[in-house]
This record gives sequence, structure tokens and C-alpha cells, in this order.
Amino acid sequence: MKRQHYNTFTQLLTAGFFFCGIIPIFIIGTTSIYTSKQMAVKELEQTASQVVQHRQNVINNFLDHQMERFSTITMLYPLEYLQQQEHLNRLFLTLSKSGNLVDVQIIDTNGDPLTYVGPFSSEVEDKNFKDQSWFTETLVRGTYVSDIFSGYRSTPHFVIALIDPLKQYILRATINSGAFNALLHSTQLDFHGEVFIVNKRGELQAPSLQGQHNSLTEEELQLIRPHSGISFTNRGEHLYASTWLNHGEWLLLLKMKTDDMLGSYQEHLLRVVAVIAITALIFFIISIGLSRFIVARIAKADQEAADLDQHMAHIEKMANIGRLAAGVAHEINNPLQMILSQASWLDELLQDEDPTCLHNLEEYNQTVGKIKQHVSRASKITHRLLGFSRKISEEQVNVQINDLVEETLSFLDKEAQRSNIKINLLLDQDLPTTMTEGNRLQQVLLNLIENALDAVEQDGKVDIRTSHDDKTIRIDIGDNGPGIEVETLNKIWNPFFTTKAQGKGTGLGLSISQNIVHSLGGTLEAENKPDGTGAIFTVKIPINSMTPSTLLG
Amino acid sequence: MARYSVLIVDDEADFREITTKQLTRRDVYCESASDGDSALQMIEARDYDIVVLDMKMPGKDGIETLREIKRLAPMTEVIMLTGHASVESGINGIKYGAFDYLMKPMEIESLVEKLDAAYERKRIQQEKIDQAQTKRDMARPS
Repeated sequence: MKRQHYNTFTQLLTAGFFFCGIIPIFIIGTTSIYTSKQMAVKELEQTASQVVQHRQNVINNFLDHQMERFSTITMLYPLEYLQQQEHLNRLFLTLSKSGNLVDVQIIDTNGDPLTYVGPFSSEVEDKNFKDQSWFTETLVRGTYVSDIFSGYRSTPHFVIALIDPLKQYILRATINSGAFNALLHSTQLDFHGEVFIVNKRGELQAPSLQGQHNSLTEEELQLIRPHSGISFTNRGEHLYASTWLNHGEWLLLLKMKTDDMLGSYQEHLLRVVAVIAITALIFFIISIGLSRFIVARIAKADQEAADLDQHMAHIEKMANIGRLAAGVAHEINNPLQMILSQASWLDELLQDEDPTCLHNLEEYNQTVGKIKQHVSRASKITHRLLGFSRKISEEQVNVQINDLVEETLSFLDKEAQRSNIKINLLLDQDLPTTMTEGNRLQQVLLNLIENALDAVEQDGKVDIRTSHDDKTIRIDIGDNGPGIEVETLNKIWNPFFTTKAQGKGTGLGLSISQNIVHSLGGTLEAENKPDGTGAIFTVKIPINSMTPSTLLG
Repeated sequence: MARYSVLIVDDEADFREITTKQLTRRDVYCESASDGDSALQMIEARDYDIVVLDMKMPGKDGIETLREIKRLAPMTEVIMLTGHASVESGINGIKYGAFDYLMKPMEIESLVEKLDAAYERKRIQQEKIDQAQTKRDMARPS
């Protein structure tokens, strides 16, 4: 449950750090991509604009040039001259040197053909043009340029017609628009677009170089709208640049695939994405590391707080029990005093009696003695209870534990001898001294050795061993008694827990001992010998430690 | 003639009664008081050699009464009785001028032992004072 809590916390922290780190990078990256795209598009438009402008100039020049040529002819030669086939032939020869003139025809103002030079004489002779729209337009406006059509032999042409200054005849010339296409696609540059020309109805006038376009799509048709200069339109993945030619008759269209054109932008995009990805990865790793570190710290602090709480709770429990014990003991001591005093008084009075008059004097004496004996027993218990809560703050003195053990044993020798218990002393001769409270430690040793003696009973064996390392002195008190039952092993430290017969123990010995050892900065532990031949109690006391002896209160 | 006089101060009547009986039997003049205030009144009225004072009483507690006694009659020795087997309260009593302390329950013999010792000290000190006074009187030209 707690693990889960920390995991969630780690994840939250990781996510938090990660997003805090990555969001600015992401924003900068996105902005950079956007700006770069804008710039690329602008650059593209500029290029497109240059191309379109150039083509417009070339084509307009070409048309103007053609128009000028024929206009010069109409100015130079009157109808009478051109009416003669021979003259027209000569003129045609001169004009067609440039190679793009298909035929020339002279038509009078009534629409009747007069003379013709060209490959299709049979098809145009005796044909009246009077009703044809181009003819009318030429009459009205003086000049006419047709759309491109693939009339004869399906080669694309367009027609130029113009009236002479005296309005006597109309000169009509068919021009091969192949040349025109060549112009359109000349100077193609390293430009990945298509250029083509459409008329107002959207019919293709000059094919695109790639030849993909035979007709315009519905979308592209919408581009055919009046506008001045060069207009840019973005349609899906294509950019269109358009400008009107030939006095608004034709539309020059430039079509570019945006993606192809934005190579540098694509590169930039890739780079930015890569940078963001790498940064994200680094941030992610850092976030994980950082949050794990933080959570580990917090978990450690929590653990320490919990341990401290537990320790404080234990101390408080002990203190409460101590107060209770002291209260009870005190209240009992007073009646005990009364019983003792009364019994003593009785004893004194009995001594005055005449033994001959009192048949049961001996019995009385015995009874009084028993009363005193049991009061003394009860008072021992209450004094122990009071000792449990006693707050003796002793001076720390330099103690040689070996001496302390031997001195303690001298109190218990008689008891051991009586039960024929063998006590083995295995003392570390190099044992250092330590600053501690000797008397309280002796109280602990006394208690533990007493317990061991009780455990082994008749003919047993108790081993007392001292040893040390750099920081601690260790005292092991082992016995060959029955050991401690597993289920009681962790209860033995509880106050008032005892396995001794009723009235033999207060159940406070180990509890007090543990409190004392803790207050001396050490530990007291119990375990059964691995081979099951009794129990070992181990006291560890720090060497030279200046522990506060006030821990108990 | 009693060997010395004792005032027992304890809130428990039975204790006062039985101890008085026991001490009287041992040739000690013995009176008793149930609390600190009446004890102080009695001390004002008459000199006692020794006061046996319970630590824990209703009203004035042992230590307070002890301080008052020492103010009223500095020569009077005081033995503290404590139901608390706490050494501190005993030490505390000694700090304020008690001769010694005893933990309840105690045998009458140990009380008498302490009383004898206390009286001995008082007697010696009284002697010193007497000697000093005698010296002073003798030195004084009459």
C-alpha cells in the first residue's frame, strides 16, 4: 500500500518534471518550425513570382513581336499588291524564315478570301468568314489573337488576324504554337513546377512540360478569375501563381507542389523534431532519476519519522505503565506498613505474656513471623514496581564490563551453588572500558543472570561471554534451559509478561532491563540457540558513547 | 523519664496510634499530628527532639512542612517517611535538612535505629552549643 503510494508519487513527479522541461522546448520548436515554414513559403512565392513574371514577359513579347510584324506588313503593302499571289508568296517566304509561320491569308472586308499561302489552300479557298466571330472582332477591334487549337494535322496553332490601316483587307496568319511552347518552357531553371496557359474557359493553351495536364481540375478552374499582377493561391498541397496574358485573354498558371519546394524547410523540420525528441528523452531520464531520488529521500524521512514515532510511543507507554505502577505501589505500601506495624505490635505484646498461660504461644509467634515474611515479600514487589518508574539519573562513569560481570556474579554465587549450577565465564581480556551508568547496567546483568539461573534450574549451566568490536561491547548470557517458545519470544519485553510461577516474578525485569539498555544507547536482544539447547540474551553497549541518560524521562 | 521526644506526623490514624504505642514502649516520649499545620502548631508550643514526617499528606506536603519546621526549630531533627520508594524524594528531603529517610513499609526496629541516630546527632550538636556558650560565659568578665 505504501509502496503503491510512493510509486504514484514518483510517477506524478516524473510527469511534472518532464512536462515542465519539455513544454518550453516544444513551444520554441513549434514556433521555429512555423517561422521557418512561413519563410520558406515566402521564398517560394518570390521564386514563383519571378518565374511567372519572366514567362509573362517572354510570351507578351513574342505576341507583341508577331503582332508588330504583321502590322508593319499591312502598313507597307496595300491590298492591290498583296492580292497578287506571287507577292504574297514572296512575303510568306521572307516571314516564314523564323520557322513558326504556318500560313498567311488575305481576306477582304466582306469576308471573302483573296489570296492564301500555306499548306491548306484547298480547305480555305472559297470559304466566307463573314459570320465568324473572330472576323467580326477583327473588324471592330483591328486585331485578334485566337486561342490555341489543334486544327489541321493536330498540331497546335493560334491565329493572328489584323486589319490594314485603310480597312481594305484583313491579314490572317496561323502561327505554330510549338515555338510558343518552347518559349514558355525555356529557362526552366531548377524549378519543380509546371507552367501552362489556359484561356478564360479553362482550356489548356500550352501544355505543361510534364504533360500531366490535359484539362484543369474543378479546383483549378476556380483560379480563373480577374485579378491584376500576380496572384498566389494555396490549394491543398499545391501553390499556384497566376497572371493574365494577351490582354486578359489567357491566364499563365504556375503550379508547384509545396512539399517538393520546401526542401530546406523539411530538413529544418526534421532537425527540430529530432532535437525535441532527444531533449524529451534526456528530460525523461533526468525526471525519472530526479523524482526517484526525491521520493527515496522522502521515503527515508518518512521511515525515520515512523521509527521515531514508534520509539516515542514505546517510551510513552513505558512511562505510563511506570506511573501506574508507581501509583499502585504507593497505595499498597501504606496498608502494608499498617499490617507490618500491627504484626510487630502483636509480636511485642506476645513477648510479655506468660508462656505458661498461653497454650498456643508458639503458634502465635509463628503466625506473626509469617505475616511479617509475607509483608516483606509484598513490599519487595512494590519496590520493584516503583523501581520500574524510578528515574535515577546517574553520572556516567568509566566502566570495565568484565569487573561489573564478576561483581554481579558475586551476588548470585550462593544461589547458583545451591542449585548446583555451573557458571562459565568467558571474558574478553582486552575489553575496553566505556562511559556508561554502571549501576543501571549491573541491574540489567543481575536481572538477566537471575533469569538464566531460573531457567536452567537444578544442575544447569550458564555461559557469560564478553566481546567487543570497534564500536560496541557485547555481553552474551546463555543458558542450557528450555529456551523461549517462539510465540512468546516477542512478548517477553512487555511489562507484566512473565512465565514464572505466580508470585515469583513481576514480569517487569526484562522490560526494565530493555529500557535501561536503550537509555544507555545499546540494544538488548533474545534468541534461542540454533541447536535448541537454551536461550541467549545479548546486551550491546556502545563504547565511549556519551548517550543522554535522560531518554527515559 | 523518656529518652527523647518524638512527634509523628502522618495522615493515617492507625499508623500514628500503633507507632506511638511501639515507641512509648521503647521509652520514647511520643505525640502525633495528622497534618502539617497542626504539627507546626505543636512544634511552636513545645520542643521535640525528632519529628517523623510522612512525605505525602493532604494539605501541606512533607517537604513544605519540613522547611517550616527547620525554620521554626532548626535544632529539631526530621526523619522523612515515603511510600514512594523513590530515592529522589528522600534525597530532596535531606537537601532541605532532614536527617534521613525511610521507605514504607518498615520495621519498627529500623525506625528506632534511625531515631536513635538522629537523637545522637542532635545531642552532640546541643553539646557543642552548650560548650560554646559555657566558653563564652567564662570568657565574659563578670
